[in-house]
Amino acid sequence: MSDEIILTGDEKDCLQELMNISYGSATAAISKIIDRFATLSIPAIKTISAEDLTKHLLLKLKDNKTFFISNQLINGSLSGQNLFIIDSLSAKNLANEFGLDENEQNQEDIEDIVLEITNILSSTASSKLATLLNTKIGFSSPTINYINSKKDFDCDFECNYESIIVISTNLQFENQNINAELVFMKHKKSFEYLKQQLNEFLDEY
Amino acid sequence: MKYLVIDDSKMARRMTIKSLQNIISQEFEVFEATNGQEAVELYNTHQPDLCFMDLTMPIMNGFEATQAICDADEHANIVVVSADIQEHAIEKAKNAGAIGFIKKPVNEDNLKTMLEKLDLLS
Amino acid sequence: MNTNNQLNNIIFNAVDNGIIILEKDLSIIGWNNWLELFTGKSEKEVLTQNLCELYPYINKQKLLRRIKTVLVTNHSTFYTMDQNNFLIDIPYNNITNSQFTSMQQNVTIVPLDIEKEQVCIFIYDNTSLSETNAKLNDLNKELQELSHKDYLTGLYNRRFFAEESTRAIAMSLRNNSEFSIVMMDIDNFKSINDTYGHSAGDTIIVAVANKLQELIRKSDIAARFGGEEFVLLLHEISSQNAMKVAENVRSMVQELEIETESYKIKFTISFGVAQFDTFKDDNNIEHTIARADKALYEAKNSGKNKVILAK
Repeated sequence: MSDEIILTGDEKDCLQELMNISYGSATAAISKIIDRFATLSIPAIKTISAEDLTKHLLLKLKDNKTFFISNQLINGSLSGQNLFIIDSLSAKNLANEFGLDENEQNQEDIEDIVLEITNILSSTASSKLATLLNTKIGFSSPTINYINSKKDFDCDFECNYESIIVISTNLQFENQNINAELVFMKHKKSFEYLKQQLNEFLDEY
Repeated sequence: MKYLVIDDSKMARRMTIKSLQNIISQEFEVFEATNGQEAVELYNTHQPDLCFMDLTMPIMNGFEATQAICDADEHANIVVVSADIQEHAIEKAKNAGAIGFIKKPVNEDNLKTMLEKLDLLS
Repeated sequence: MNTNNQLNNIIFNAVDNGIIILEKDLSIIGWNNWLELFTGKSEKEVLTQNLCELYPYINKQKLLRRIKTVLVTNHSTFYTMDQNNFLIDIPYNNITNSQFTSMQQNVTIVPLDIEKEQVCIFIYDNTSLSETNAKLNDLNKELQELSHKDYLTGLYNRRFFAEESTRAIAMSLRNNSEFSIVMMDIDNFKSINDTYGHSAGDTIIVAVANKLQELIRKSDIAARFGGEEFVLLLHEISSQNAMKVAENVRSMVQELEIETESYKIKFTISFGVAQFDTFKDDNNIEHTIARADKALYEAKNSGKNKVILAK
């Protein structure tokens, strides 16, 4: 029933490079703000169904991990949702990077820091992408959920997104075991707009 | 003039090459490499006048390739092109032998500025 | 040129939220009418003062970090609240019955001048929205409790079980019939969770629930009593037969193998059985449950994976 979102090879290349550039801005921002070196891996671009995304997220629950998912809504022509997914241990280490030592960390503080990173990464990367594509976007305040078991999982993506373009990357900090995933989800309409803008960009080059 | 463009992203190479085409009126030759190792090989074969080197690549990254090329040829002209614009990345590139740094996306403006600065705009 | 300034002045002081203009070091260089009104501090008084010295309960590190983020990214950001839900404590004196004693606030930090490193903090009064949300949450909780089923397993919940057992007692007295309670608890559940993960734990709970549904009669009640605890209410069944039912469940569960993505898990359950007794239990189901519970405890302490009858 869902019409597949398809990116051509060229469009995928283009998006990948644009995301790469956007991530550069995002990690530079982190570096300036907390004075720590971070890298975002080369983005892997997939178009999948909302169901598959849910499966992918639930897969993280194995191996006993608990994790945080924070999300930020994007408004405007590239509307959608950005997810930041980080396991509890990485989140604790991340809090360390932010200067919170072990005994100062409670769940609220950790959640706050995860939200902050989400804000920085998601908004910087998205804005940069928007600038590159000559368009404007706005952001909502990021919200956060602690996931302990299947029950905690509120999968409302399935209603809002038929197909999702998932641009995932791993965030890594030097000297620290911090692994996190950034996932960009786009609505079908903004996806069509995205394709359009990518092609305009490709035409310039 | 001969240029060598090194980046694992086809789009990125395209952007650099197109910008070159827009700025430079004379004819020139361009070679492309998709990783550091290829870069070293192509450099040896063609001896380009200027290289544009991405930093994050598989097999051999931009720092290593820059180092390798500059070790072999002390007159090598390598400009690093990267999305990663953190201070220490720039430092590291310089230490490896790079003579300039362009922040992605490469466009006519920043490319022209760099070429003028390097006095390679004839 | 003047009109722009005039407009800015009007907006700054007429707008219905607080605006603080801050330097990067937290010194105040702007404080609008709204703030004067609600805090009782005039702009004159607070100019050049440090916001965190003025209000020492504000988390200084967090605020500094946020401001830095705003100046680096050139984006506005939301200041996430702690449980107090305010940046500045403005006591809320309202005639209507508000559950909040302080104004609930939403705070945004916006870059004003990147060169000069100045930001604006916008404060919005969020109180009535918060009240509505709080009421909504309460209603939801009530609704959950009023519903009879346990979300995860689809079994009846504890509340419903309590109601049902009261009915069972009434019926038993009226008809002079018997009924029994079987309390059961998954053995070593915490350890299973720790080893295989919570998700596997949930799968096991659901599997047990499904087994129970299969094995009991329509007239009986199976309920989830707590995390890994279940209870059966068996109508017109004596303790002897209840023991048989429990033993049946026990041996079936012993044979079960739960498959998750990476593991095959086996587990057992301990059981305590008690028949309702008007005299022993003083017509109070809580006492029956207590006796069954004690028997369950005995089962746990004598090797687990067994059924014990209450005294």
